[in-house]
Amino acid sequence: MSLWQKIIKSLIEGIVNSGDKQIFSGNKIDITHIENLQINIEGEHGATKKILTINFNELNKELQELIEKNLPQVLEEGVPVLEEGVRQTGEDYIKTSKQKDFKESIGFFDGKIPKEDLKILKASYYLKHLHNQKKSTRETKEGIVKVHGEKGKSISNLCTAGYFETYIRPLYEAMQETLDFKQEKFLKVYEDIIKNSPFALFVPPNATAPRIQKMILDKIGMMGKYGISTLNIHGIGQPKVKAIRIAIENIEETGGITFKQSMTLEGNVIVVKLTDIKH
Amino acid sequence: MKNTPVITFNKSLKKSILAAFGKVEKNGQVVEKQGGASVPAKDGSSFSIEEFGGITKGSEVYIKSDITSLIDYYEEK
Repeated sequence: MSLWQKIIKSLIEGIVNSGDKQIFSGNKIDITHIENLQINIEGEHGATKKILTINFNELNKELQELIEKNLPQVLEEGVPVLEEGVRQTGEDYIKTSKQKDFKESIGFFDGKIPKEDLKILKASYYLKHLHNQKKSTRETKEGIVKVHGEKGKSISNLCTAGYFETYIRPLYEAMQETLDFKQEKFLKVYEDIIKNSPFALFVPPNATAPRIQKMILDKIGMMGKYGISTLNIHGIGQPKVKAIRIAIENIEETGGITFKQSMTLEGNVIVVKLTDIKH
Repeated sequence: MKNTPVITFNKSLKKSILAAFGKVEKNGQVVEKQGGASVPAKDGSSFSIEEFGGITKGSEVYIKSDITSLIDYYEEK
């Protein structure tokens, strides 16, 4: 019997001997008290998964100390000690990363973009998966931006909006066809896209109509340098939808810039496409 | 991914778990209780209790809870 199994055995015996009826009911472990410390035991061949869940704060001091004292040794035996949310996210990520689209996209960009960017891209595809599943994305996105800064924000925005498939990959494939293609040439263009997103504007949270108007005008001013005349404006949330509409109306009324516009609204996600932009 | 046992804990127990390994939080960073030396995460950076995601063998490798740190850990498993 390994050390961690001995600890579990001691723990169960300790709980039984303490006569704590809240934890045990007859010979079965009552797992309805699911709080705090959870010991997740996987079957050897993955056939059976048993979860022993213990309310740490309801254990007596002796049993609490038993766990605390033995955790370092359990770790030495190769049993990781993870926060439950971390375990769930990690396993969900591994499951998602085995999906065909995910593998195919990461496989394509592996070796073509910097290693750090590939790491961010993997996280971004997972973010996209969460968004498609209508699950909360805030914490994941914040984690990407906190660690990777503006580059993280840019890659995750471009990825979740589909630009890695619809623009960056076709760009690479087109450049690769040229006789004088070099990886460095692609990287130069790629890094420019990541830094400046010349064809896309992602409206930040709480942006007001005047701020959005300025962002659009600044972006249009920059786009001329690239000879790009189409801008996609992305926003999430009803207040942002309204603010984007007001910003565009103001630009039209001010004059000096003309464009055609079309809008897609899916739930609370808006994409306004400005085409044939002329100064 | 091999089926290996894992011990998981609720967020509210982070302080107790770190204490079991002789670590405390000081000035927003996790440090050694004895001596106060900063404890590095797997990527070499310091981390707060909020960022603490878990510990794995090697001898003690501290995992941060942000998504790219998790990806690093789970892809190496």
